[in-house]
Amino acid sequence: MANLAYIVVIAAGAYTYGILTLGPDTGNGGFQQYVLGYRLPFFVAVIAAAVAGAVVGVLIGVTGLKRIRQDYQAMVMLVISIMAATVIGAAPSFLGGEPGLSLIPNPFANLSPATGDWAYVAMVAFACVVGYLVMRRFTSGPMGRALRAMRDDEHAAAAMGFSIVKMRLLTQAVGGAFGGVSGALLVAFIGGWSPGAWAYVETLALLTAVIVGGMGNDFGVSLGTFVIAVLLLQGVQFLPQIRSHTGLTEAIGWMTLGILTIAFLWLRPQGVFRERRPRYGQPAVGNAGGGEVAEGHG
Amino acid sequence: MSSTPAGGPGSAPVAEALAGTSKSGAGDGPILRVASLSRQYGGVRAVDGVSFELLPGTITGIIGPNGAGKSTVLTVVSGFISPSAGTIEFLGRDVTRLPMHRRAQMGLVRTFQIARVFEGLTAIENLMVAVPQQRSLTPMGLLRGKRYWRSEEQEILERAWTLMNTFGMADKANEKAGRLSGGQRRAVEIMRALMMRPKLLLVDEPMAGLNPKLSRELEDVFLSLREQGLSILIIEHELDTVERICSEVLVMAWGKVIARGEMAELRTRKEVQDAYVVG
Repeated sequence: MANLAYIVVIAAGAYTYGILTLGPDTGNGGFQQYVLGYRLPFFVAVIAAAVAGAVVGVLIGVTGLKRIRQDYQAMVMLVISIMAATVIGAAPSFLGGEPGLSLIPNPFANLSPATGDWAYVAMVAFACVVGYLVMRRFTSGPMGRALRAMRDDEHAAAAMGFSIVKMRLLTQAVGGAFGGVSGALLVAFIGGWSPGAWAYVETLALLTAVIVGGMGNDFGVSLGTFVIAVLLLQGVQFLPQIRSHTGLTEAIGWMTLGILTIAFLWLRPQGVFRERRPRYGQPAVGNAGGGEVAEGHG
Repeated sequence: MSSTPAGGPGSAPVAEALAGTSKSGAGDGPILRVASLSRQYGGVRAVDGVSFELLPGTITGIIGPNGAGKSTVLTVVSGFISPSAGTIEFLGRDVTRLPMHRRAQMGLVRTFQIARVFEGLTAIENLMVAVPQQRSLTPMGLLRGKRYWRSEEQEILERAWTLMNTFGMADKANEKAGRLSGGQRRAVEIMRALMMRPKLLLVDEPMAGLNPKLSRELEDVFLSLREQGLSILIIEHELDTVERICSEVLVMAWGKVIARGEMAELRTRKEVQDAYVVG
């Protein structure tokens, strides 16, 4: 099922990190209100963001438990995404409303700007590697097989004894935790967060990354995310600006994203890296070492 | 079932493949007891007060014209949909309100009218996934990784290969199930069900789309399964098949069971003939 509300768990992580690190007072004329007033250490706040992402992920997942077709479930997710941003934006006393939160502390603020930026890059790269390895635990081996079976046909999977509710909530919780951490890492770097930063269109960028990279292929999805979210959407800001058309370069990024989505769905729906499955050799009689002979990406 | 090995699936290898298949565990009593089962869709009674019992180690057939309610009975018994009224007991336990996956874990396993394989998985993976309570799917399995579940995975793989060989599908084992023919998908679905070591197998029109040779091979498989102590409830339109493999047959029409007995005797009964002509 396409989770079109994934940006909401990223937002949950970002807000959680923000309100747990901002401290009790703005010191800037009180232009923003803090919910809790904590100033927790970076790693504690990131863990809290992961938990918040998992909880919100599960709550969103509950809405998808009703037996409706997957395309309708995707629509429900999209509506949740729009509603969440609208509600948070309309409640300034809760999470800052439309202006959102700002002056969120950077963990490397005591370093020089250049050193701090590179330190941040290194930390995010490390988090990506760890995240990839953790995700492989879920997507490879028997668990990955079970999740793919559920993706292919939920009813047949239930007939095989799998609890669809449990599996769905597990995936929502794990995916939510990842989203929460990514939101925390993002907001700690950019220093601010508001409903405008997590509009539903951001979810479409993530969806495009999956479509381009290759659904069901961890490596492909990672590459797709790097190309779409980093090279394309961030790369356009390095294009020369046209004074008479402010914002055109950013729009070019989004247009390219839409064109890529349509082009891949038409011409290469399996993405750059298609889903591959491991090949299993026939165990020789009395040979306990037979079995899987080649592991594919996926 | 593309290249059946010597002996065919109905011979000795089946016993090896099903070595772990559970006996019913129901003692001498019925393995399944369905009482006054009804299922209503709006104003339509698809199933209307159906009652029957299945004994361990038997093959029972359900026949009847299209729209008689046969598949609905099977669907309700499997837990895919809830009954409007009535009770279902499996192994002496009331499972009427249990969800499908819980019934499957107890050994009440179904196949579908149109074979539903996991298309993104290979044929052999379709079999390997059908062992739901694996160590690898537990939190400990996720935390500790391969070392924790490798030996179990090996045992599952060996069982899957035995079935693949038994059904003559070894050459298709590593092919994605979405690319298999209708007959091969049907075979994968049945093998997948057998991987679960069922106590009662519910099969819906298993011979549909199979050529006569494959149908006869599948009949042999079902007979071998029965010899292993497995109970089977089968919906089938091929009455010759039903006559060859089923010890008891229920005839359904208009949502009700209108006759029951042995197939040879049922063929002569007027109400059965009328149901097929009128129904």
